[in-house]
Amino acid sequence: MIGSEKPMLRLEDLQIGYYRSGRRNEGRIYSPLNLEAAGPEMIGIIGRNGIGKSTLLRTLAGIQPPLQGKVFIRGSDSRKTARSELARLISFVSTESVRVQNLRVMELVSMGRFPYTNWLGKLTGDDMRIIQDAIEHTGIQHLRHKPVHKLSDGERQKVMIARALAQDTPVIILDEPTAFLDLPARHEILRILSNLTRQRSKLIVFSTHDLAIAMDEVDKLWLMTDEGLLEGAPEDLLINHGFAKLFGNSDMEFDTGNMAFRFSRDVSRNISVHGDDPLRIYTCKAMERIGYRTIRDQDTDYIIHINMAGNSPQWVVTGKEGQITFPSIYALTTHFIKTNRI
Amino acid sequence: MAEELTSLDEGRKTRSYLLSISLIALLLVFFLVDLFTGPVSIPMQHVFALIFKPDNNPGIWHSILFDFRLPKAITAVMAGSSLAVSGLQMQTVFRNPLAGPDVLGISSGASLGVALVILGFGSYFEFNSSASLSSWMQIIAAWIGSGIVLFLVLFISLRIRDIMTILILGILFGSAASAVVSILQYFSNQSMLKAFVVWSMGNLGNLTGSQLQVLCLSLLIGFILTLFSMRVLNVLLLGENYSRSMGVNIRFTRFLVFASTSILSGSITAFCGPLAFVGIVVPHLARMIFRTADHRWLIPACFVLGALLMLLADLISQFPGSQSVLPINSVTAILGIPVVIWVIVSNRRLVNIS
Amino acid sequence: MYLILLMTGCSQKHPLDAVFSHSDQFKKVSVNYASGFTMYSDGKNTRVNITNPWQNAHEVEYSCLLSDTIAVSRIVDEHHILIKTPVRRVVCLSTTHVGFISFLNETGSIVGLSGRNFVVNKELQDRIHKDELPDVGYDENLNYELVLKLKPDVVLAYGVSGTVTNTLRKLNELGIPTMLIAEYLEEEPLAKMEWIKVFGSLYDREGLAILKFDSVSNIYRQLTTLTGGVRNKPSVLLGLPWRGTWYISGGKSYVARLIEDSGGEYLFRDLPFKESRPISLEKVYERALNAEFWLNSGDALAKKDLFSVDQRFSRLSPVIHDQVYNNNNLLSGSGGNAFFESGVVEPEIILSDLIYILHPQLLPSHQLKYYRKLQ
Repeated sequence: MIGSEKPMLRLEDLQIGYYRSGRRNEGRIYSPLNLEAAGPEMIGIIGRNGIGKSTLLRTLAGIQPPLQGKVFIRGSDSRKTARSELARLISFVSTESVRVQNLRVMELVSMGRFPYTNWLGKLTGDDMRIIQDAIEHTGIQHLRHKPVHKLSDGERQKVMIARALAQDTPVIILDEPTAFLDLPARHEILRILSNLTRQRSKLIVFSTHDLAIAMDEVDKLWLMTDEGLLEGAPEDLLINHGFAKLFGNSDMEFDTGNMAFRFSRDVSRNISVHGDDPLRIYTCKAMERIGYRTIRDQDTDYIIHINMAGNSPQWVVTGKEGQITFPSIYALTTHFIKTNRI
Repeated sequence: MAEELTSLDEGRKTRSYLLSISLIALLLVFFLVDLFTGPVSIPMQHVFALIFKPDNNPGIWHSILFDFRLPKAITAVMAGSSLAVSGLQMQTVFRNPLAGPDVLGISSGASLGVALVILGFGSYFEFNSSASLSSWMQIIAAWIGSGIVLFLVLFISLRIRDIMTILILGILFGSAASAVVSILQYFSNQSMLKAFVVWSMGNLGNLTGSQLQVLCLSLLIGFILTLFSMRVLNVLLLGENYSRSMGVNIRFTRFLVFASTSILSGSITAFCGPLAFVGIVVPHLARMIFRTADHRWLIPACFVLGALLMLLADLISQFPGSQSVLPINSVTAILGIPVVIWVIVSNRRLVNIS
Repeated sequence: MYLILLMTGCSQKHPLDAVFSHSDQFKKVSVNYASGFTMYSDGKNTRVNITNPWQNAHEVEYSCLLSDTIAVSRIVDEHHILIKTPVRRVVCLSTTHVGFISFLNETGSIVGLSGRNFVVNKELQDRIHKDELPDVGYDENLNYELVLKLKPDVVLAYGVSGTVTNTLRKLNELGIPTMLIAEYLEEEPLAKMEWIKVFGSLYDREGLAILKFDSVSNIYRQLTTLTGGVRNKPSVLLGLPWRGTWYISGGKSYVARLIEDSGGEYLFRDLPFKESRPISLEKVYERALNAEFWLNSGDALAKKDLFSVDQRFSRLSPVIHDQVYNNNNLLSGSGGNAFFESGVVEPEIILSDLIYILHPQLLPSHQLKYYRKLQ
């Protein structure tokens, strides 16, 4: 491979932002960045809204000029490289929806070959092969002739990725590729991207709000916080309590037990729950939601026992007033909410 | 499954080729019909003799045909095709289905140039202004007028990123030029006003041999520029961010497209007066008929359809008979307005451009 | 007796009705050619009735009483005015009026006019160069304040359409008597010239006017008998397209009449109107291709001027055979053409020019005055 010692992507003192009528450093929106991605991997960028994820991605993709600093792609300084050359190194997928009539999926994907075709836009056999390959890799063969404006969100996202794939670049940048998608579609997209990293040695950099994906699927995270950018594998960031800084001063906390973020809750009372998993886990979760800490100790005002009455579960609450039986978790929690109000 | 899909592709291609051939044939037919329609009626028996043995028939018909009808028909073809092609480019660059070649104020600039000659200086040099200098002076003035607007637009397009801002500024330039024209009109007398109004109604029949040559030459330059922007225009449909990411130099592309449009549209306005609607309407017709967004098909399609529409308009303008001729601008408006209304009404479907 | 009534300004309904209505004391003055006005005189006072003084006017009449025995001029109403003669200060809104006035040697009375650039008369040009003769503008841009300042005895106006009544009204409000001179609507050259009689009355030079007119019309009639017997009438094209449109004079216009009187055949004599109407270039071309003469070709000074209007003119027979003449031989240098100034009172000379062009053998020793041959 060409330039195997050079990192695929390197940011040197990169300052992103918007020019304000000629005065530099005035429109800067983030601190200078010095980052590197050595080889093919999946990098996720997360951060709160407005911190500059999209700006960073657009600056990386060469669509927006940096205020200062440099972006090196495979050793080439993006500002010193010709546009057409840069287009062969880095491609971009955004959240912009393309609404054009009379344009079919096949034609849209073919546009990815733009940096390689002549003035007439003629597609060679090689071009066709690459396009076909891109279509197959994203699993949209059945959509080839569908008009673009009739695609569903998930389909459209795959088509845009196919286009970026047809552009045949070592680096692909995506801005919120899983936004607006339902869960299965999200995972499908991630699977496609992950394959690109593993099988095609591409560097994928994308931004997301979906923390589950961020935790599960990426090799490295770039966490943009108000105090600077934190870098590392998701688990590294857990160890460093990086996530706590993610949301600044808010009531979010990372539940290491459940490996998820949630709002911190006022926990005022204790309750113990007895029963078999997974019913016990579900019940604990529900009780925590309404503000109870679940412990195993028996020494609480109320105790919940989960029994099986035939095929359906029952929840039996033992307390000062005696025993009450509930047929569902909903009934159980509603009861506690009511009694706590009094 | 793969065979099914390729045959769909093939089917569309065949359809497009067939359509192209029939349209070109139609164009030839209209061209011939236009040649033989006019205030002076040429008897049928002379028609065939004139087409096939032109030199054997000198005389009035010959003269009328070659001195009047032929230049007019050629002008119609050139005007329709140039305006349609530049209209298509404007609609793509501005991603607006109602954009046309005069959206940048080029037509208004040309009108201002001509107004200065007819209404402005004309009042001081009235004895001189009628015969000798008139036609070339008007043409050059119109060219200069549209050239100045073009220069302004190119200047700002290099400094401003947002295409909507450029659009608005272009419209404002046009309005400014129109305002000055209004002032000139206010201070003119009846005959000068009438002359200017007549100019602004458009005229395809006034060009002589040398003028036609100059027009064709400048249009050729405009069309060559268009050829170079064909494939970029396709990519531009996806939006400017995607285009940039694929290596398109947006500023240069705009520059190229604006220059091409100004040359095409400005030249036609200079020689024929401002011709409305053709530039807006024909691109939509082309998209409707060919059902593609590919500019490599659309640009030639607009060329042919534009020429067709203009020839049709010219034929209709002869309708009232031998004494009076309808001004060409009114006819293109009558033909074009229903189409524009249709575009607006169906715009609920069309978010950007089709 | 009527005049005493005038002077006391008796407040009857229309005390002046009597003055303006018919009476046996007023005898009709013979007006043989012109149809735009009639005159009645009782020896001392002259009543001039001007009818329909603009295109398409219908049943419009302006009545002016010209008298040297009244004390001051007076505007009775929009259609009736009294003017004290002879007028000493005149504002002309057309240079044609200058032609009439100089014919009577009264150019000294002109204190203001419209279109200074177009004046050919030498004496007036001198005064213009010394800035002693102001330009009062025209149409909507008529400088009313200036006109008022000039204190004219009468303003001689003309109107192409009914909108001239606005000008008339404004001037009336300012107390300035205005007369509409409509000589341009006449259909023959002698009729045009006959308006000299109106001017004659204004200046108390009726006798001179009638004398000169009779002399001119005699010569004119003699010339027409000369050409009356001509058998070969060459076809004549008139005019030049103006800004892309060719306004062709109808067969009833005075230029058509001139061509007829000079033994020619006007190319468009079949058009049954007297004004000019736009005709498509193609139709003109159709007939003009084989015309024998091309006259009155706009402001072209040479054949190349014709080509710069339209190259196709090079194919026209009169151009090929060198038979193009234009009526712009006498120019003022700043846009004025004597054809429209002195020419209006010298129709016999214009006719002679035309006869010389079309049938040189009839007037072999004539020298062209208003026409020049285009090279």
